[in-house]
Amino acid sequence: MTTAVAASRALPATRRVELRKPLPTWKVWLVRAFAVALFAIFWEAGANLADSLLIPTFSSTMVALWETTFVTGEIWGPLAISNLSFLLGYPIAVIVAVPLGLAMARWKRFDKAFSPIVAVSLALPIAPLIPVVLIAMGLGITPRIFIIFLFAWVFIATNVRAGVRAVDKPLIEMASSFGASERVIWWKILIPGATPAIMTGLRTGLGRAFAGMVIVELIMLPVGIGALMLDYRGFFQADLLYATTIAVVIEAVVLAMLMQRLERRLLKWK
Amino acid sequence: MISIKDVSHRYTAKGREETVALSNVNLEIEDNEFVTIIGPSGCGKTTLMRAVGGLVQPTEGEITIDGQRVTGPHQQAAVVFQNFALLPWASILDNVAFGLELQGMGKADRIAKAEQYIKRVGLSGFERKYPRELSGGMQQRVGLARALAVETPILLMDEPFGALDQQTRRYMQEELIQIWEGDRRTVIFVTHDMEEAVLLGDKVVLMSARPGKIEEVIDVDIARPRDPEAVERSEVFAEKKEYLWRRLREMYQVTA
Ligand SMILES: Nc1ncnc2c1ncn2[C@@H]1O[C@H](COP(=O)(O)OP(=O)(O)O)[C@@H](O)[C@H]1O
Ligand SMILES: [Mg+2]
Repeated sequence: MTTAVAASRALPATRRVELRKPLPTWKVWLVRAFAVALFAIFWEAGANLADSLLIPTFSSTMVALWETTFVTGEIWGPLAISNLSFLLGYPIAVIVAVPLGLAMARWKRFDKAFSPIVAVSLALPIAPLIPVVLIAMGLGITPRIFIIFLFAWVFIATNVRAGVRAVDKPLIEMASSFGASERVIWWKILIPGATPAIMTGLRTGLGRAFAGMVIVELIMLPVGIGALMLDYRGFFQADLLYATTIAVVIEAVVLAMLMQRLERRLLKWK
Repeated sequence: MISIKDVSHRYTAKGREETVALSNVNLEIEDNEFVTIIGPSGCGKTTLMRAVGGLVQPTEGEITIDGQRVTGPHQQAAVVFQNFALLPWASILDNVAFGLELQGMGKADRIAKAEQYIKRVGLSGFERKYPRELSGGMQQRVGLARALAVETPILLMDEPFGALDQQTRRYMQEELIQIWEGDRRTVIFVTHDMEEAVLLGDKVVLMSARPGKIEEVIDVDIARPRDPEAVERSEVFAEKKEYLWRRLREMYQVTA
């Protein structure tokens, strides 16, 4: 029998679909390092070739980054000023938008009242509003906080609303069958059930708030990191300009990673 | 004792026609009796069960439990849902303890009690798992343990095995018989499976969709404790099943 099996011809196989296989961690990091190295090499070569005062090489940018952070420490002051408005604006957006999203999901009246504003805010680019806000609010920290708020709130509110509405109705019925009050349904069913969407909203909102922070300083209200970048541009300090940009990108990535970590922790059950 | 007197229920949704889900339903269920309800889909089985649980308030008539009127969700009944209705973010232990938590039982006590019922449904060792890590049959055991754990005198089960494959369902039926015979409660069990109705029930309530009426209450005089295999081979079983099938077929011919 076995020989017969061995001798038999193979059935022509159709192509097999290969699912994406997970890579081991060390390989992931190796691949990432490789991508960064490749990017650095192209940059270095390109900058040398262009030989322009306005395009620094990768290596000079890295040196400038080192200097501005650890030698002169020039970046920290402006970075702190920028982040202060971010650290106020983003939490305010969260504090306002999360309850608003929850209320819109549960009570028709809220939904009807706010849905036009939400729809407009979703469609509207915020940047053109910056001059209006500045005229109305002056040049202090308040307009910057407000603009960061404007950048972030609608994405948080819509995600929270969608998340609560997507919670399985039978779970609510189950909880009521065990005698749950409205309050218990909120804390035990709706909020945990909406947590994935709430986290998506918070993450998207965080990115938007950060973008808002930089944009307002760059285009209308030169303070903080934006002002620093504009100065470097004015004095043709391209290496420092690039280094500052990279520092901002690094901060954004770190924030996103912290958020992701929080999300993983909250959503272990997924 | 549960007594359902002249109960009618109409669903009214804005902009839509009324649906009569129950009309003049009368039924008495003794303590510790296992009643199965069968009937074509849409005949009001779920509505009747929800009314007993206080999850809907019938538009007419009244339901009393030991003489007290049902006016809302109450502590006399616990529900097992067709789609399990487990909290995906909570461990099996927390899911089973959910009803106890809502009753305000302290943490240590409710964990002890939940563990006891997890053991009873044969899920020891799975306490720390999440629902998605369990098969359908195991998930419904969690649902069953959660309902048993609050130790209400009444269990309401709405097609609890309807979402399971045939073998799993069969196995769960045997387990339910065993659990129930060791820990009797009043059970109202909705099903669309004739064999299940006869195998489990002391009484089978046959409902029809014209609309939401009880057609007949059939006594299943098979002794307890029941040995499922012996029951299935018995003549009474075959006879009752035949009879149910005939009645249900008549109903389809009326409506079709
Ligand atoms: N929430 C509801 N709103 C309106 N109609 C409903 C609702 N729930 C059930 N119905 C209608 O009531 C009738 C009985 O439903 P149900 O009790 O779920 O029947 P069964 O469980 O026997 O299939 C059906 O016609 C159904 O469409
Ligand atoms: Mg039903």
